[in-house]
Amino acid sequence: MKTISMHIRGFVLALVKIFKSPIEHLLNILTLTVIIATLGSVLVISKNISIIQKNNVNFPQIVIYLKDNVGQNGISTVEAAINKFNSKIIKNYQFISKEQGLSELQKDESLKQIASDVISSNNNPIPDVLIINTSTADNHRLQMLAGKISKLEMVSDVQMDTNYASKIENLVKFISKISNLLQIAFEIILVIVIYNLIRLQMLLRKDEIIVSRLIGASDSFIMRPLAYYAVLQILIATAFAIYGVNLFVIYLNNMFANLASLFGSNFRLYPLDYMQMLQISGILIIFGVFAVFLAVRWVFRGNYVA
Amino acid sequence: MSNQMVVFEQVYKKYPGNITAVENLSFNIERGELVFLAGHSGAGKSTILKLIAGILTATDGLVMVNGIDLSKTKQNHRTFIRQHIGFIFQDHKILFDRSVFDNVRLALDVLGYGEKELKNRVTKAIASVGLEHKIHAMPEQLSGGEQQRLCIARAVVHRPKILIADEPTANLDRGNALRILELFKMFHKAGVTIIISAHDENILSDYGKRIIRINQGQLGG
Repeated sequence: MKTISMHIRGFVLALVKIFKSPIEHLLNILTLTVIIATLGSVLVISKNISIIQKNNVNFPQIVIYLKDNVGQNGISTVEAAINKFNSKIIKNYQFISKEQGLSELQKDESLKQIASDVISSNNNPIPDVLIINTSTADNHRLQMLAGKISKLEMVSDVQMDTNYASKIENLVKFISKISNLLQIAFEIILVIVIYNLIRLQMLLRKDEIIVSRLIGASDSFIMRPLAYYAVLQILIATAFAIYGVNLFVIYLNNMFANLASLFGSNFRLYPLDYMQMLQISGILIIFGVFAVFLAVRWVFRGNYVA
Repeated sequence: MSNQMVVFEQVYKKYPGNITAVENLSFNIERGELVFLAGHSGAGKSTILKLIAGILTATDGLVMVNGIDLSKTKQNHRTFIRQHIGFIFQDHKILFDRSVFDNVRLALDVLGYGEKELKNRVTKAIASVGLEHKIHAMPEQLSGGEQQRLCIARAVVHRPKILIADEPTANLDRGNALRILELFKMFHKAGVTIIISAHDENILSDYGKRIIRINQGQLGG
């Protein structure tokens, strides 16, 4: 009960502190907002790169040639087996029957003669085919999948362009590396700037920290209101930043809408989702409290207060 | 319970850079005693007071306060001990961003007092030093003597067993200094152990109380 009331006291003191000098705190919060919004923008860019990459890159296809005369039952068995495999890397699949294959052959001017010969011989050698569209560039996982499929009884052959798969894999890895590095760099910058901002704020309250300590205040008594003070500022700034970034994304989407429709595209940017918002807030709060702890210890040490 | 409130036995205190502030110092202060610690500036008086308050730890020797060996206590425990000591700092350590009332209440906030009891005690403490008419004033509106009295109110509001005052009469004219010392006499009569440091012995000699003279961190002078 006492602990709860001490927390309430800490929270109220932090609120009072902020509302006592709103202009000063508004400036602090705006500074934090700008920094967090910068990180938020990087996260939005990174997220959209990965979505665009997923939707627009042609990931390798796996072509499955079925044995002669597998029949409808055999085809269903193969389809059921594919459905059982890793759905994360299989985007979709399509069945092309031998009749469809022949009809496609007829449409090709250069192969028209061959198609006519096949029709007249009444013996269609084209196999039934299943084409799997994948959603990954991970060559190893694709090879594993192809290997599993080739072991199916009704399957005659499985083909995949491994060279193309490797190229796509390298490209995707490169893009995600750049995006991750950018994200990490901004996170480090954010952490350093926030630490320094909080440290400076704690230094401004140095006298209060020292006096409290000298008259017998415990670590938790001193740090609680300061931690709430930091957390409140971070929370308000994070809320402003996320709201601002998402509002900007909506504005950009409206701006792009007309342009994208001219090119027959439905391109749009995706804002930060709740999970990402929670992650940003959580990390910053943990870090803010840690910064308060370090800054207060630093004040104690600098003033020889045991 | 021992009658000794403070025991110093062969105490040494060295600051970083091997600067010796206290050297082989031994003395006792009895419960309920009013003692003056006299010596020139830099003699080590403030260090001794901070050692008694557990703000500093001795490099060597025994420092016992109210039966507790401070040299063996952990930091958290020393903080707890400070809650039972009233300390009047040489540089006042007043918080200038809050009123007289809020400065004094800090000592009770630390102890977790309820709002009603807190208001009652703070008002009484401020009245006991004669600052009731300035209870909502900000520190910069107070004179030097009034600021000193504010510090005393903050130091006594939680009714400590020991009251330590570091040069409380420094920078005050004789009239103000005597008024401050009268306040200490009043608390002494209430049974509080009081330790006051001062570099001007003239003002202390009138009181007929024990004077511990410090010279270069040692007894003497």
